[in-house]
Amino acid sequence: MTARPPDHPAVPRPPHARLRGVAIVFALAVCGGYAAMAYSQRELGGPERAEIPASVRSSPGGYRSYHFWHSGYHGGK
Amino acid sequence: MKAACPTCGADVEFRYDDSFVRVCDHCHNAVLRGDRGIETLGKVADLVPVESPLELFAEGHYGSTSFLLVGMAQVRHPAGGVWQEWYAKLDGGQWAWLAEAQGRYYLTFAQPLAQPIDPAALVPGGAIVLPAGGAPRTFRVDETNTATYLTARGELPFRLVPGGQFRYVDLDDGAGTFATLDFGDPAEPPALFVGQQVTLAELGIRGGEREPAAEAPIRAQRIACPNCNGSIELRVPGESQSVVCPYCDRVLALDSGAAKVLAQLRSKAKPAIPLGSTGRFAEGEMTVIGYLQRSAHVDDTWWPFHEYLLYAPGIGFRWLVQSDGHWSYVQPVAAGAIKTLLAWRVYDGTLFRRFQHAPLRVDTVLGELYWKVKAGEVVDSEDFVAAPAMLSREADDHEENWSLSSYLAVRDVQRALGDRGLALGSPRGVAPNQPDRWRHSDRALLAGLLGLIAIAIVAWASASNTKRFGQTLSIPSGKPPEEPATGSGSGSADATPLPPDPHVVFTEPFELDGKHNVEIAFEAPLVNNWAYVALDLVDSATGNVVDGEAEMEYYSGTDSDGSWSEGSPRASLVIGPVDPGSYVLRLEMQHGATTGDVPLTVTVRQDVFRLRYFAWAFGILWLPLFLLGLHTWSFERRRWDDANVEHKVRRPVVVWVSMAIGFVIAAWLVFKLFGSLG
Repeated sequence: MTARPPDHPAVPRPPHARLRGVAIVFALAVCGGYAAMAYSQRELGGPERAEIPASVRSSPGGYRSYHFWHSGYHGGK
Repeated sequence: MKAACPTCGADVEFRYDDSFVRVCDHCHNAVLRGDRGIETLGKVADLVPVESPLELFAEGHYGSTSFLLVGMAQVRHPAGGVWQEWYAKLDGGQWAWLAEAQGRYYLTFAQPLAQPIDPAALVPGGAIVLPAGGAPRTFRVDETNTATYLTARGELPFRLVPGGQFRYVDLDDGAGTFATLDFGDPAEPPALFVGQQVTLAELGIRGGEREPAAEAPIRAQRIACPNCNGSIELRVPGESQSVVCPYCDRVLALDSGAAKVLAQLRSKAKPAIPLGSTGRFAEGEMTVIGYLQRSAHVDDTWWPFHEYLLYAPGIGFRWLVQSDGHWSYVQPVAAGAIKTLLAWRVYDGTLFRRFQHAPLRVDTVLGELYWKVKAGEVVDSEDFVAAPAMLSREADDHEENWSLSSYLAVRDVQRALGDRGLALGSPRGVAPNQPDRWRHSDRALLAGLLGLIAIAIVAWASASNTKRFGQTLSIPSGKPPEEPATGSGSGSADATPLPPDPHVVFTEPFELDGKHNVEIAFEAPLVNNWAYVALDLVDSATGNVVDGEAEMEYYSGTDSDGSWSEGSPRASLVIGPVDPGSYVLRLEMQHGATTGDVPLTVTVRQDVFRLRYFAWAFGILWLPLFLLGLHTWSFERRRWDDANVEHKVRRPVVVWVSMAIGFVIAAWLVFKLFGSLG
């Protein structure tokens, strides 16, 4: 370290910010979370997945209509 | 050369060819060696006691050249202080002056100067170009004044007349070079001395008539008040030029060791830190030796603040300043080290913004000070801030002094003073140099935001958006047949199959890979209509199903405000990666019109960019950034409210952008609200 001439005191630097550590962790967590989502291409709260027997699947209208008519869409305006 | 003292006849020896004056050790007359022989210049006074580690015949070195202190002159500053000029003989015949003032040391060498200089043209703060080391150099004027020779010892290279006065100008170049112009002989060009401020450690001082202590302790001394005969302790005898009697509040001048009443204080000072306290500050342990209450005249009011004078041998004088409960540690700064940039000042690579310009007045005093202080004494001052630092300039007609204040939290002052529970007060408002402890938290968030954008750009650019399937279907009017009353619902293995219905369609099979997300998009040319699709993505091999739904509605028309529209004829659903293989879509469709079919275009893509997650992450990072920006703006506004120079506190960019985004969102919400009401 170079010695400073007399009457040339160093200007004090701002102290570390209070939330600096928290902010770094928070920013890394958000970026990391987003990067994981973006590259895995997974979905949060994705649609329901189920297994339907082939006999039912092969019959149009053979499944799902109860949901369609009783809790499905009932029109807009 | 040896001669007899013209006054007492004692032997007087001139050891050096360039010495002209020798003080007789026996009768203390100044003996002049001249062309006309030996003559006396008169008796010099006794030495003013000055606490100094230097002694006659002490040795030292400047770089690799050794020197010996062979003479010394004491000089009185017009403000009352005394400084000492030591005559140093260097090996090789060169000589120099080692000036000692207020614990500082300056080693200067004579420089040839042919040009006449008008001392009246030099004012504090002004500039002059002078030769230094063979090249012209710009110096800044620190002080112009007239001093008085008091006394001397040993040999001197000039004609010192006791009581004689001379005009001088002190200068510095801001890079550590110090210079003095000595206008001692009005008939001649001034003598120029150029050198540097030095430390005793650099000079390696040793020996002398009395061996200097490595670090001389403060040796207290007691004097009697000439007014009340009270016993007053002097903590820095020799350096202090005035002291306040704690019993009768008289300001005493300490001339030649004898105290004289200088003034009567109107009010008794009550410092929060007792005089004599010691504390460990940035440069080492220091003792509180004096206290001043001063006031700054701002907006037609005198605003008081408190200054504690600190002293330590080897460090010199420093100040501890308290204003509105905020504390700062103050160090002197060479004026030449400060550069002017428009209305700002630059020091040590830092830009300081102008904050205040006001006269400062001394209100009351306690303890010892290094000049003859007078209550009511006024100087001009300017402050420039770059928190946690503040540059301050104090000037009168003869002198300009700069100092650097470093902000201290109250707990730091308490800790420095040994946690003695002193009532140091609580900070009020925001100090000019108070750092915002929250401010730089935003840097990590800002960096995170930029990182997030970079990740999103890469994700967007690398998304292939591959089309896996496309087909246009037709949604018939009407409703699919009702579920039989005995039906057990969705997914039931033993559900009774219904007859085929045009509302339910299976698409052609298509292939999906297992690595990427799947977007199933729908578009229907709706005109004041809605469409609804319940979909199942069916894995042909395993029977695994992912279900979902899509809603579209689009209405438009014309009213008294003109044409309007709402809704969208498009909808999409994105699901995460599924097992690789062949898939079909099972779609149950319906639209709102009573007659006619509605075309429905179905598109399946893989590896699509998801803006939604970027928007969420952006918002999560943006919100704290916005709040910090608001805090910073508010903090700076409160800081600059106390400034008396024009300065506009700018809103941080993050606040401006957030306000713009907020305005757009608010406008959109209002538009939506009125649209739905209509």
